[in-house]
Amino acid sequence: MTENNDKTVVEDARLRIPVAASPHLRDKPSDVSIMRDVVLALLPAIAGSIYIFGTRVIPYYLISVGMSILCDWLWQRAKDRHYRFDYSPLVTGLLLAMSLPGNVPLWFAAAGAVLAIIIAKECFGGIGRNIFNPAIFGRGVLRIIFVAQMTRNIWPRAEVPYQVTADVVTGATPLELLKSGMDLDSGQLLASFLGVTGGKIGETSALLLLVGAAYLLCRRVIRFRIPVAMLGVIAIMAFLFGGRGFAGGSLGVVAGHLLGGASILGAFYMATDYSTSPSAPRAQWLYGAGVGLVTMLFRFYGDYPEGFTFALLIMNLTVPLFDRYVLPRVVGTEVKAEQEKEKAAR
Amino acid sequence: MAKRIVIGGIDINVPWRRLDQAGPALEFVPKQVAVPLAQGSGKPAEAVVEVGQEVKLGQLIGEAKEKSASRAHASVSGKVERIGETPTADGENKTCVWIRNDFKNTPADPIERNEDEDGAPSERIIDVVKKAGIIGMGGAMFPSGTKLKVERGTIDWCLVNGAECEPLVESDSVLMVTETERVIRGAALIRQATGARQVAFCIEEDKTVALDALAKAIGATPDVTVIRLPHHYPMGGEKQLILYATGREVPEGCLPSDVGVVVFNVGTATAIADAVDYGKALTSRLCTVAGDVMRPDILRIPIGSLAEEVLAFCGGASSTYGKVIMGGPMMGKSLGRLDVPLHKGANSLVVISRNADFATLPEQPCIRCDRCSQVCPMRLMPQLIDRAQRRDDLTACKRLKATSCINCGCCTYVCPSRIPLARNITAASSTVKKMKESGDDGK
Repeated sequence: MTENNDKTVVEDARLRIPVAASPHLRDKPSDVSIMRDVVLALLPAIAGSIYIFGTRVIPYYLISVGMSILCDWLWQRAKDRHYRFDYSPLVTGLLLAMSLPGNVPLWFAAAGAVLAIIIAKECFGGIGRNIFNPAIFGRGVLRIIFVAQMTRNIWPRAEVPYQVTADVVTGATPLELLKSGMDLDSGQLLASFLGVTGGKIGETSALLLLVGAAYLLCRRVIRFRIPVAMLGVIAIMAFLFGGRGFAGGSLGVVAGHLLGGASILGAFYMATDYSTSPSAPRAQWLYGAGVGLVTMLFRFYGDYPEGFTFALLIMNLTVPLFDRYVLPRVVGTEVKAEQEKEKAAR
Repeated sequence: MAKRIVIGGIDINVPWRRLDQAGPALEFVPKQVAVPLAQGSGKPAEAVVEVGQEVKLGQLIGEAKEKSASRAHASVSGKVERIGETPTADGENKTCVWIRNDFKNTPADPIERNEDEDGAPSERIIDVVKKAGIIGMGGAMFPSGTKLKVERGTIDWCLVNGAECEPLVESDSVLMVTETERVIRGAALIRQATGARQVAFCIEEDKTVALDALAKAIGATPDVTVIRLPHHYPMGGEKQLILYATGREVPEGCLPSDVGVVVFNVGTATAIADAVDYGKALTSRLCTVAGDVMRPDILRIPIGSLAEEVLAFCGGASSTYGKVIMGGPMMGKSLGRLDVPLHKGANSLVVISRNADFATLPEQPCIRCDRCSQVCPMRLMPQLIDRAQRRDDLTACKRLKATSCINCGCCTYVCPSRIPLARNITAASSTVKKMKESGDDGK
């Protein structure tokens, strides 16, 4: 700024006020507070998993989270950046641990975290720029290499109530029962809803995951579009093709697909991941429906009962396409002045 | 009834209380004024007074020679001390006429009217409005005379904008309460000049006193209504207001008059009434002094009063300056120095102390949370435009309609990563506009 000598008295402080572009106000939520909300929302399901499966699942959480944060920190150090903990590696670590079977070697959790943070996230430019959901990428790679171990399931402790004994004897999760063409009875559905059944560490309890999801929806951290579209398509597909003949899906089949496997965890916590989902409302509907559709294709035609992991990874790849072609109509575009004038005022 | 459409927008919470003043504004008497010869985006007027000359209140001091220029008048009576480059709110030096106040308020002769009886009444109104140097007082500062010149019979709506959606600013509310009749008279004159079929006063629902005052004053006048707007930012944005009140969208690159609507700020309407009825030039306006100041107040300030004198009159800042803003806290200009004159669009002067200044938090990477696109009143994708702008991808900026941005700042307000989205989109928008002007279509 040029000094103006014409003015007689010039106080220094008066001429050195910081300037900034408008607006001059900011809303409270920050990237940190958003990620912290996600962690809070996951806590009920995490606590539930420790109760249902016992303390043996705790090391998976600790190693997965510890390794994620360590990788994040090491990467920033290697890049000579100032390290700022934004809770995002914590979210990734928790989601990864929750999607592991609780009876694989512990180093799976560590390896998954390295894959998630270093390969899926940092190599693509860090937060907000990754193509694949980091946690699900880590799980997906492990799932391809260690098929036998990664398709195992963990079973609840014997003391936990509401278990269905038949499941424990046959050792089949609700989704596995559906895959073998069986129907689920109300006892099995209740067990599935509460989470006292076989599955991955943090995926089983639909109830506790929904409690957290309700919190995220209330706090407007996530939007309802992707989960609703995804679960809606899963329900429709289960009804149409999941039972005997066309449109013969029973309540047990439909609810089983909605509650079983990674449906709830995936719909509310993974498919809604900011970086790897499209931006526009219409695109979000389509994307959610796509995830549901591909998940069901895997469940019906794949070799294994669960298909969410690869369905999400495949749909992640469509996001740039949505962001390019499915955008809302900007106000004032694609309209003609004459047509607007004709809109009857009264 | 037209469809009431609200797109995006935000509800803003500020740590300061509203004044809710019902009485008339206090007169602020400056020791000196620096009347800017250039106002808004228009070309500067040419000075028609000399240094040392005695001028009267309302006397013409700057003549509009070029088309986009508007006239400047002495806002106090006294002696012209200096005509020269002066720092202004834009951060640039512009020519101002410095007048030392003699505190006599000697009035100048009323604006000479075009007594050509053959001219249509609308022509006479437009002529007076131009001579009075009236420009849009809502902040856009577009010459009102030009805006009034519309093809007869094409205007369905005259919207009088009293939304005042910016937090803290209360100038228009006070004006509507204390000078209700003048506002209505101004609207009637605008209607006469443009031939608008109906008039609607648009006021946000939280300004209950103003709403009541206007509703009572207009009574059952045919084709005149009061529209109660939701208390939502940016409800008073021209395009947003038109969409809400009439259901019409202003196509990109078009003016409101193209869809049969004219929008005037309540302050502008009052100025038009005063010019036509009393021959008074636009020499003062209401200005809210708010935020972290000792005595927040709503003042009537002569145009060209210095920001520092006005602030001092209100007791100065109550803590260390974080920022001083001319205009509302969402769209106003942040002042780099305080010895700058207040122009005709300065509806407020807001001080934000360093503690309340969230805007200085460091920028973080975008996490693609979509909050920005959810609040954009134009349905833009700020995060995508920002990204395109950072990699200098002008084709993408153009495709994403960066030029449609109204710079309301909602995206920056909600961004959890504190990215100055609005600023970056404005930059993208001006580059795209320049590109278009130079005929290069970015291929």
